[in-house]
Amino acid sequence: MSSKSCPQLPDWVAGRLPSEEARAVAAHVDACAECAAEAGLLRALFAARPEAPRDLAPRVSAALRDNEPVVRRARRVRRWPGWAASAAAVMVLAAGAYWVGIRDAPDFSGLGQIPTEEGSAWISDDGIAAGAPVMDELSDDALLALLEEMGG
Amino acid sequence: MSQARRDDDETLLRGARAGDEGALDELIERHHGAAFRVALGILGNEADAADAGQEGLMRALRALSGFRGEASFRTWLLAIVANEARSVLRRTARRRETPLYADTPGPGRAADEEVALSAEAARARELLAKLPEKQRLAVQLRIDEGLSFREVGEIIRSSEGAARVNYYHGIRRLREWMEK
Repeated sequence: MSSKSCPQLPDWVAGRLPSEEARAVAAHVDACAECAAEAGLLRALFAARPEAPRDLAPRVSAALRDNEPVVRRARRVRRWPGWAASAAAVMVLAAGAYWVGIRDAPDFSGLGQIPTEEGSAWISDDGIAAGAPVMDELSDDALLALLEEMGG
Repeated sequence: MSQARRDDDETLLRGARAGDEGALDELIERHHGAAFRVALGILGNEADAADAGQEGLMRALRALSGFRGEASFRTWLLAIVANEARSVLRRTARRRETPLYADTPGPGRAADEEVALSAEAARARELLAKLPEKQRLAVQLRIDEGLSFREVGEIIRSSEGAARVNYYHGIRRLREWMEK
């Protein structure tokens, strides 16, 4: 018999069925190897269902009572991996050097500098236009995602 | 979900809407575990799931006037929590998995049986986390929360039929993996 024809199995292993129905399913499972095997899996899954942290319910109650805004709580401090910190430092240094380069660049009467809506961009030796990277407005998560992309 | 539980929720909802803090606390107590597990199923780690669960619960309970009773309260609330978790997932760009299983034995079983079940349960739960999201949530919502396939579909954004198919595909795959 296919287990699809015994749709009460999840409720049976979780003890959610009324006693009469539960007895009928138990009798069926005793006689059906397919359903018995599936019930074993469901029982294992249900036995290990995760419980919420103990402080979750009181935290929600308190926040609602205090009329706290629904905003993301301050992120837990997560240690960045060494390579990410190094990459961030390199990017900051590169951005700083780039900015100093632009600030102190000689005036080429607009030959290499092209106006853009945001200000200006430089055409580098290989002809690629690039603007100063804007990272101030990036969130930690967005910056981390960017670093991950750069790191492949 | 049982009719008795649905009726109880409706009574509590009326109380919460009328400003009864005790009714609101009871709603939180009843549903925070499911909210956490739904967020965990989407996000894969407990810290983010607790945050998303809290935020989803707060959004839902502050918007009780928006609940029109077309779905059960539990389904409506869990759909909001799932949306919140998906939004966190988009912001953090990827799912961070941590092993998820209860390590405390349940009542009424011999110690040896408990140890065997605990190991099997831990493995089943770890494999569950490896299913595609819709299959994972369909299995989780059907077993952990006892939702019907129609209710599962409302949360995973699919039809009742697709929720059923996702559930059975997930179960079949888990059984194959468990037998290896």
